[in-house]
Amino acid sequence: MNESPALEATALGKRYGSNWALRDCTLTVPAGSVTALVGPNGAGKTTLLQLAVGLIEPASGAISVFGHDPRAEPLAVLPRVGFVAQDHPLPRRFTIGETLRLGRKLNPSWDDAVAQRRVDELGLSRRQRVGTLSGGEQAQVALTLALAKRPQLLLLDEPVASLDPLARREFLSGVLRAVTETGMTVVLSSHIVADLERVCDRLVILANGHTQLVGPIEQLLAEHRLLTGPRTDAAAVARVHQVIRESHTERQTTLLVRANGHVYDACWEVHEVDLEEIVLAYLGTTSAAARVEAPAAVAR
Amino acid sequence: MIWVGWRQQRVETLIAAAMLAVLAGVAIPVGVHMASVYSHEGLAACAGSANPAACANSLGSFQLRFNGLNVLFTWSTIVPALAALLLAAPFLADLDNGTYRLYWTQSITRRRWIVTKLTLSVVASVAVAGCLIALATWARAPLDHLNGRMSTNAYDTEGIVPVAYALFVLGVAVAIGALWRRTVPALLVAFAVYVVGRAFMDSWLRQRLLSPVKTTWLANGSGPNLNQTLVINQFISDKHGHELAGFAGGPCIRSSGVLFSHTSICAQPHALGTHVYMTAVYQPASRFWELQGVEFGIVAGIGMLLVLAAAWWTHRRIA
Repeated sequence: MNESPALEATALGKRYGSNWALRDCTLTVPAGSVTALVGPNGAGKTTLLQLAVGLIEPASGAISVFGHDPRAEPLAVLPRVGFVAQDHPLPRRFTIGETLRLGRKLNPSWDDAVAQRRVDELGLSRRQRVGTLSGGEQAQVALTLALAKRPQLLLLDEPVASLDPLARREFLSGVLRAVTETGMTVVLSSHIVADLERVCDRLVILANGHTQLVGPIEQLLAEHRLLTGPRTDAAAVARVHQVIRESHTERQTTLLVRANGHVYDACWEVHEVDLEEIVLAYLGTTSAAARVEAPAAVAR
Repeated sequence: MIWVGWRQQRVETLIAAAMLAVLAGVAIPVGVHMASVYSHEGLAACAGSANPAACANSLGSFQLRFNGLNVLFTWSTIVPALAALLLAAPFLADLDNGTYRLYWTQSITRRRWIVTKLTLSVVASVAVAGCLIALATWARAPLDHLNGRMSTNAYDTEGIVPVAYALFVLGVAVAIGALWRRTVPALLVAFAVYVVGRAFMDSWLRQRLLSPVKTTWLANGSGPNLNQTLVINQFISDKHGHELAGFAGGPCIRSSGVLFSHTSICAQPHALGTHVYMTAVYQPASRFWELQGVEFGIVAGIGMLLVLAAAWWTHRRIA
């Protein structure tokens, strides 16, 4: 790829007081990908996205968007980035029409046809006041504002967290449709893993301010396996594969491993795992001894 | 961005305009009426020089009759302050409820957002104060002609200091709001700061802004005309202007040319013979603009510094 990546973080850190919200975070978001940024609350997802759009300044390391520093060159970054903050803040006293006018006034690349089409599809009227809309509708209006900017990179911070399942589905469909139409890069953060697989092709797991896992979802699904077998020590397996999580009952041992090639040992029953299990396994390791191994997973 | 900024403070600006309209609705009819009474009774001739006895009655009743206008404008000094609080609110609300994240991630710099919003607030606040000044100066003209403009009810609504206080309140509100990011508490604290600051200036600091004039004269002789001045202190003294101790009842206060006699000495200073003197410490009426200028410089200066501090803090510190 000759163009710089949509988003690139190098040893990125952000500290609030003595608390590191994000620490030593290195990751690349290739242009054209749809990345899910997953982690529990307080993992640093919001911090990372706000750093990307220049709302906050890194304490250490660097972040660049299409090769530009968002803080140093806001006007090289902002017009190319659509950002929907957590809880999708909107001026509540504005009508939808005024909100779109706001977008037109503040964005040179504004496409009113896109905005109008989305408002029509949502069954909303330009005269409705934003404050009277439901949470799902407000999220959609905020997304409309971001999409009509015709961004090359769309950053969504917990866009569906406050929505009911139906509104969640509709919102993600809107994102998916915009992606297929324009080929834009998307990074969306979430602590809900369900639904993400349908929309995203890459996964970043963040916990306690560190990246735990980064990679294409398809590859991650192929690499991770659940092994069950008679109770035993995990050490033998750990010599070849990376053990993410182990649990033992009286007779049985269950390991979730990131397999280094095929698992040949016949004493293990090998199962495929789904995305949610992988995410939970990695989030579980943050408090376990296996955390020491986590940075190795990052340095892929 | 100007349209967006205006749209955000449109309601607040209209409320401020409505406050002015209510004030004008009362002051204009009364002002017209007062001006006609003033010219009809030929009171203009009574102003200035020591009131001739013939004027005393009609002047007294005129002052009494239109004292309501004094009261009205004394209270109206609060209008620019309330307007400035209202006009600070859109800026604070954006920081409070997180909508700044929306504006700062459109294709404009946060610097432009801050400058536009604060400039609109400042301009609107100054305009409200300016309207009050115009209204007060016009409506109070006969009263000012008689009493001068050094008393607080005229001084606080005319000249240029109302603009200064509007900027002061705005500055305090946006500075507290930028630090605290809670709209309503910030506005309440700003209002309290305004009330305290204003009381401090009216009752203590203003008299000391310029070094006052001190005049001593023979108590039974004729002294200076203190009618339209800002009298800071007046007392029985010796020839050199040192206060004579032992006169219970304190200094004799002059107000609107009337000597209030708390003690018999005040009423009849000549009873003590020719060696008793009166001393007055005051700001002469001719210093109106000079005083206003100094007070404006201090109060508006603090206000604008606070606005700039809020802008800087918002630009550098808020994420």
